[in-house]
Amino acid sequence: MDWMETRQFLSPCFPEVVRTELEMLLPGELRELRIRADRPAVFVTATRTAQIGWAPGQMQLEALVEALSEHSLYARAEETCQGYITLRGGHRMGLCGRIVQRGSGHALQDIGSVCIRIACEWPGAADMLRSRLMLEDRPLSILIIGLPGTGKTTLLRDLARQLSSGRKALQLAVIDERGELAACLNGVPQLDVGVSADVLDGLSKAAAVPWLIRSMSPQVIVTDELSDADDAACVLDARACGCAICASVHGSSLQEVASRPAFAAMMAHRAFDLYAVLSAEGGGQITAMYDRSGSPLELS
Amino acid sequence: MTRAVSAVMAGLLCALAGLRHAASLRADEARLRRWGTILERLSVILREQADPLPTVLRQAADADAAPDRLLHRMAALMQAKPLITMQDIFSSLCEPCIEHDVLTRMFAGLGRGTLENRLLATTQAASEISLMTNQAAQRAAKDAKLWQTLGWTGGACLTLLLL
Repeated sequence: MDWMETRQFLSPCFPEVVRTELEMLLPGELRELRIRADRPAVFVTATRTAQIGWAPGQMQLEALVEALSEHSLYARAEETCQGYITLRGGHRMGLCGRIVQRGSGHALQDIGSVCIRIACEWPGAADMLRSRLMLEDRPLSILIIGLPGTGKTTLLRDLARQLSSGRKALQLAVIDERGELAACLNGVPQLDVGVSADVLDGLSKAAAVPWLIRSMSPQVIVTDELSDADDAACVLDARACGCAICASVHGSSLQEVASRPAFAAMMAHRAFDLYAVLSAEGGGQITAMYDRSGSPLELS
Repeated sequence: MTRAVSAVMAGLLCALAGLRHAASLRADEARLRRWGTILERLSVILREQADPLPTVLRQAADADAAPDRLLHRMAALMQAKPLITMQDIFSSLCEPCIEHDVLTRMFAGLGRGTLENRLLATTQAASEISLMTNQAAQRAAKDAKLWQTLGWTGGACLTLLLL
């Protein structure tokens, strides 16, 4: 979905004042739209954060969420319990509000804040990584480290696209637990992850890795946001089965990630051949690269 | 001659008024019965499918009755103007009728909250509509005949009186 289509999708759901602002934005400019009940909405672009003259009430906010979900919010309870839903075009709507206990689980009752993250594709963002990821004909594993909003997912998506396209396309599988990488709608990726990529959408990494290895025999598995020891164990499982892994993790440096107890085993086993650290300023800029033993590599 | 024609016309008008009222009682019953069927289908579709609400409304309204046509118009408007709530759309499209308040409440509940909340709104409305249908059926069976007879009798008496 390009910017024109994104605008056409978003505009009918917003009042005139927001529509006018959307009209003025250039393709790729809008990063986030933050809307909070009874407070002014905020546009976050690549260069600025600006308040706009629209402060919706709580009911208006719920109507907005209902509209953006194309009136299917009721059917997406599992996603809302995770705190977000994926919109058409791969955009992600984070939700916040009052949580109520329902049996053994919980549900989001009154929505108080919404953060719409605009998915974007940067073809070529992973050019620098692509050339380093093949050793002879064997794909290597890479961990992309970055703070939230620094472009990890975008970089990973372009890496997937490049690895699974062209004459030497690899058999690639994407574990899209949160629907951000490929943004599938009815099983079809909305964002370009390459022609030979199989996407397993909405399944936890722990369940997805054996599934993919059993059913799709991938050469490379791509997944985002490793977060706990279970995720780290999945990486080791996949590596033990001969799959390369391209993954991302929240963090500001390799040292910080390596010091987390949850990742101790993964780091000790040197599950990744390469580490790329992204600039805190965003834009998917790589500021440092390391080899499997943690030695710095030259950026070219 | 003019007097006789006027007397017959007045009698016919009186009879027509009675017949019209009887027909409206029967129409109320038929419409409520159709709403009952639609609400039952709506519950099932909501529970079993995960489609957007406009699609659910269209699937539930599969006949050529007034409630079905109303739901199709609602579905179209929901897609054209997604920010307007279901309740407001219903209120703007539905003409005054005995089930108006029940359905307005139901669409307010159907348009927000969890699946359970929405199902609850539908089920409550379905039971209220079911009660209203029974009452309307009794009225139609008893009062419709009465109004029909009253119309004809009143018309005949009026004609005779005027003659």
